[in-house]
Amino acid sequence: MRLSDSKYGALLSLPGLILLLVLVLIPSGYLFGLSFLRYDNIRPIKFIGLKNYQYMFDDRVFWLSMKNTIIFSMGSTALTFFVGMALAHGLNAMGKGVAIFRSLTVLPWAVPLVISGFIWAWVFNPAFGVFSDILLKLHLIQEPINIFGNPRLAMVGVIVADAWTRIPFMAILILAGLQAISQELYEAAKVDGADVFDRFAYISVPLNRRPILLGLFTTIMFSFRTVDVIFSMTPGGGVAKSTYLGGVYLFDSIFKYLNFGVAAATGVVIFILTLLIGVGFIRMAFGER
Amino acid sequence: MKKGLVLTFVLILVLAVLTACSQPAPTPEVVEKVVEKVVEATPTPVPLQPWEQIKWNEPMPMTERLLADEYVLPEGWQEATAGVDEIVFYNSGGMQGDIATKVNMMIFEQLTGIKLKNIDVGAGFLFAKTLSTLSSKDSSVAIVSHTDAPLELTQTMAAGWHESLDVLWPPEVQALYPKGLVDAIQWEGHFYGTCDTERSYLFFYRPSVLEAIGEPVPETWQDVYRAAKKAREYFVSQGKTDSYGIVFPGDYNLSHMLQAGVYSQGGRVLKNGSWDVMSPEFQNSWEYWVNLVREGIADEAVLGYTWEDYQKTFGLGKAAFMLGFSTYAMQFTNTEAWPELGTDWDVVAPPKWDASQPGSNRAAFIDFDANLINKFAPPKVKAAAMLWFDYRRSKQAQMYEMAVEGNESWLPATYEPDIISKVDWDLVDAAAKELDIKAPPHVTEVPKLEARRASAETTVMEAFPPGSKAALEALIEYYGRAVTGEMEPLEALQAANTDITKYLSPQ
Repeated sequence: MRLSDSKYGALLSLPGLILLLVLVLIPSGYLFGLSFLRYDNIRPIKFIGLKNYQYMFDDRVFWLSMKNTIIFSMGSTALTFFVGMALAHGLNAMGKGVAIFRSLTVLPWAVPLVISGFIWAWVFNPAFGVFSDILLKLHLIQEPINIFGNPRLAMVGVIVADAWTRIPFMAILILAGLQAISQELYEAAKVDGADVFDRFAYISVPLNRRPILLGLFTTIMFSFRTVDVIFSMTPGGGVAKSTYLGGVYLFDSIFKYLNFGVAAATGVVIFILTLLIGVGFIRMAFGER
Repeated sequence: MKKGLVLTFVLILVLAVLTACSQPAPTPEVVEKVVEKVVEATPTPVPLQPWEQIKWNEPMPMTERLLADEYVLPEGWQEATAGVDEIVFYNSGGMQGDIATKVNMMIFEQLTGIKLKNIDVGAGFLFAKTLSTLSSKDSSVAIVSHTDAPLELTQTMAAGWHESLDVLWPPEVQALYPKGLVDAIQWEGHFYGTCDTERSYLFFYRPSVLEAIGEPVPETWQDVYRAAKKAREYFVSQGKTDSYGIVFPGDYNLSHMLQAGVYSQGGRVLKNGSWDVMSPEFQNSWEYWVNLVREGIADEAVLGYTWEDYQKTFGLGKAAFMLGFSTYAMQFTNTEAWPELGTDWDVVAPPKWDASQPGSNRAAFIDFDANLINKFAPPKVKAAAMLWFDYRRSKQAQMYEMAVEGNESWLPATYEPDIISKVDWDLVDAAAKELDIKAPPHVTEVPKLEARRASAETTVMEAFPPGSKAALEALIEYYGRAVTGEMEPLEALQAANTDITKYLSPQ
């Protein structure tokens, strides 16, 4: 018996589809369902329609977490992108020793975010962290900088810790894209009088659009639902909830308040927002096809 | 084909939603009620649970067994726990920091032949891990632990996830332990917890700093404020700009500082079972702890300090005072581990609010770890776990917590002058070897016993209602807003109160 191409394709996709079904679709459906229940582990479970959503949207802390999430995602993505881009170009231009530097660049990627948070929390600790200590010894500051005691600086601190682990992925992605660009294009541009910025703006960026968009999309999507780095650096969401993100709101709803219904509603909102970002980026990256 | 696939997925999604909505998993409480109804309707006698078969008052009354220098096992335990080789439990943090637990595990294993297997979980993740275990009805871990028991206990007890421990708590046994703690481990008339360790608070100070600023040992919180301010000025004059008058935590344990302020005035945080943060005592305490940072007497960095960070900061010699766990009165005796502090420290019971307060108000909060039994564990394992709980609350087990590890005993009878003579140091050394840690010094007297006893006598226990974690989150958030000058202290407290009222109201 000979299968048609489409049937053969469907057959090959079956394992993946089953995994998708078991690990994504069913849990997602269950999540949607839970979000309509009063499920606080104190009183009997009951269908309450949209009341969890109403509770969440009426909660000042939810909106604060959304505002912080946007600042955090934008900050982390921007820092990741610019440093990743610079690193990628540096590595691309490097001759000898590139393999060593490329390996070193990738190292932070291997560090789990929660560990990265702990590392940076120690680095920034004003009492015994190296950051303030070095600046003090260089006489650049008179008193230790209290990153986590200051609501504005705390956000910068967590952004740095988050970006630190994401930069390698971005750098490698952009580097791979850069290495796929023919050197002849750069040489031709040079002959035409293009300087380094022109070559960057008119060759490197446009021809590397998809890897860049993919990197941006992945970073923003992951940072949008971050919990771990906050958990280890600024437990509870920092001074005056300055680093309290949507993911932390969800985490707290489950693990601190045991309110699975509100947690599910938060999960649904974060899921939809992440989906919208994803769809937007996919359209930007592949829309021209 | 494509349309068919999409349609199938949508159908599955809808089915999953409907499943979640229409067939909610019954809570253990609901299951229990259904079982109770079925049991009521069935005329045949219900077989006793294994732990009900243990003769807890034989060979001697339970109180005598618990107060004996060497714990005595109750009769019938072998039959009740037959076939149980191991009890698995969550331990808060690494066992390397819990030598008394290790010693007690070894004694229990010698007595019963039942092994205890600890799964070490970092304190910050313990509640999440416990919740995952209980909500998934995982039966493999028999004993779960709450490291923030006063806040967490009511939540999981209310959820109906624990086996009742009523057999362990007849009135005469309750009378052996502090009433506040006994009340804290109950929910709706049933006992669910036992306590292995507790930590009362002591006021730590550095004699050299007091001498330098010409101040006596503070008796009241007002004395502390004045002396801490002078201490900060003294440190700055010495070029030690990173040293402050006082250090305290900015995380959950901030509430313990606020509570100390309230209790030292004779007040309480709970009124009719609900948070009362607008009481005059709470307002005074709130302003006190806010102003310490606003006036630069304490470092703004405290906002990011955990319970461990701030006590380590004192240990690093970077503060003149702290209200710290009694456990550190033991830890700081190891001067090799804390060279900056050395022997330049001492402790007294927590201060009272001002000179007008009676000595009994030299009080702070008591923090304790609670152990509970997973309702989904096999019955015989539950019986074995209860036996372990019975041992751990005994005088023998509590002695190791108090005299070797530096925790406070929640069994007042442990505080005997010659208690140290009953410690089996060979066993302690063997436990240290197994844990691969340095053996604790074989002390001949319990460090700072008088101050610890004084603190333990006045300490106050309040168990907070479900939802209190959210209430505390609000307090911590607005404390930060007040300290950083974003809001005035009492304006911030009022805003926190609004949130607390919302969080504690039924949804």
